[in-house]
Amino acid sequence: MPSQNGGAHSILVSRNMTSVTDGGDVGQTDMLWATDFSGANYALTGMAEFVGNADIGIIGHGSVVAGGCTLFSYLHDNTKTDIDTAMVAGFGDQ
Amino acid sequence: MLKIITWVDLQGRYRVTSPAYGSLALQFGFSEDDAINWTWTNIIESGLYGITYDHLFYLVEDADQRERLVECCGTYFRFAKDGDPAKSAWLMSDDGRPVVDMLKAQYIHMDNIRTVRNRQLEKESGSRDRQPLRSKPCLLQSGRQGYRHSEIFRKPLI
Repeated sequence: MPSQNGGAHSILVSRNMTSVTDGGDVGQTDMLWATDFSGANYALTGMAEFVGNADIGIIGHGSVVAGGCTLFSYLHDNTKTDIDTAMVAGFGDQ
Repeated sequence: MLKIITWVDLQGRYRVTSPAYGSLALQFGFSEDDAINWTWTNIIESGLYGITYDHLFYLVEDADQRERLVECCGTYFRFAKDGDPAKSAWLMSDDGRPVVDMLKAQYIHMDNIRTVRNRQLEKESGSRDRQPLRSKPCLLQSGRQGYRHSEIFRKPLI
């Protein structure tokens, strides 16, 4: 489920998504699922891409609820940053 | 061209929501309008943001938003370095797109310059001693004729 961040992001490809919202803080993205998980205990995995940047992007999560989650993207030095593309997948019971 | 939803959250932060048009069309057969309606309803009913049905939002063409972002210097002025939303220089204009508050932008830009300068000074001298002190309240009050030593200095002279 790739998406872009930073004031005019767009969802490139998605499945079971309602929306992506940014703007709470730098590097923050909120994702809402179309069909919720049965609870907040499900697995999330993700990758971040910086076009033309040698820094490694890291995805971490903030709050996770049945209907969505908040993700944060970081540079290798642990500073939050808006990234070019995030690829995220969630696995769990619905 | 597809629309995005722009709104300001209860903390005063400018937010941008992209409905998952492709996913909602595939799963539920939603049109663009259906997807926008579903998305905004979902944002409200999720309870994540504490907003209600009368909360103001705008529908902005994605291309128009990108055009405005160029005028706003990208997201450079969007967040203050200390993360304080009150210092964000982005405001929402009447058309739902961001505009830059120049006074707050000055603060953000000066803060960024200060950070780079301090890093450079530290690199040159190998210490943080050359960095200017953070501003402190001025002890010397204008118009006052005399001071006691302890009011100005921490230690006695001898």
